[in-house]
Amino acid sequence: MSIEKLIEEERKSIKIVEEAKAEAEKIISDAKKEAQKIIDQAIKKEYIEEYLAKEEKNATKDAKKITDKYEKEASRIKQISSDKLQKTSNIVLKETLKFD
Amino acid sequence: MTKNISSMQNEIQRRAQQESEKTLSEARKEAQRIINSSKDRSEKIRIEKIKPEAATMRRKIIGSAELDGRKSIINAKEEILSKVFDFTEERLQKIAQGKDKGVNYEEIIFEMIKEAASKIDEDKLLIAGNKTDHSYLSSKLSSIKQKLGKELNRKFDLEIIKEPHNYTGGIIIYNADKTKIYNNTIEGRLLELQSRMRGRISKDLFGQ
Repeated sequence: MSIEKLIEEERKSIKIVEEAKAEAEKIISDAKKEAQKIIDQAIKKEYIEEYLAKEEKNATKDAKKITDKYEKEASRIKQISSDKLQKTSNIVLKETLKFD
Repeated sequence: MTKNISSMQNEIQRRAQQESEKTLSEARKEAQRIINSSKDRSEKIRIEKIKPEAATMRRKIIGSAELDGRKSIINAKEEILSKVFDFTEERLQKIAQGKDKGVNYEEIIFEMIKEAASKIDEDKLLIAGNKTDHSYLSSKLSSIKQKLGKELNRKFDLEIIKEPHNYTGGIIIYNADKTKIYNNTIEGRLLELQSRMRGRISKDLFGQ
């Protein structure tokens, strides 16, 4: 009877280990599936498009800053004082009426 | 004997528990390694394939903004330069119309004729002017001829072209067979000056 108990215990123990092995295989199999998903996403058209759209948005935002900077500078250039305009015109006038 | 059996039973249970825990622990570690490896690989794909494309796109967008920006600066400078030249042309028109009392336009006309005569370097010259200058030149032709001869130490035969030209002021001089021409109109001088002095004026105005 005691030996039978031990055999029964051994049988249970084998089952526990086998169940653990099966679970381990499932964990690895799930991980492989998840890994493939990650790879698939990286090469997926939608993901690439989404990534590029995000990058485009960032670049456009930075481009706007550049455009604003130049517009500000262009606006400053256009604000020429009448005094400066007159002085420069005097130089041109003088040169126009200068003879050899 | 019963105690021994019980102890052996416990040992069997403990070993089974230990082995299954070890198996599961190793499986979890391996799973994490697989996930991490795929993350690394996907990042590599991103770096190798998508990021260059994104960088090219970014360069294009930023480059275009830079180009448009520089164009807007050039346009702003051109606008101011045109303003200066337009303003100067208006002042020259007033001078040609005799509305600027500070400038002797008749003296300017003479200098224009003298400069043109000197460049054409021929005795017989045909002079064209606008309607107002045409009348003045016709009435003063004799004295202009005399003064010109004296200043250039040469005898000239001057003739006014009958049809007045249509420009702000100044003169155009031809040789007798019109194979040589010297444009000394206000517009001509200003135009020549615009290309010659654009850089200098730009530097004066914008400092570069």
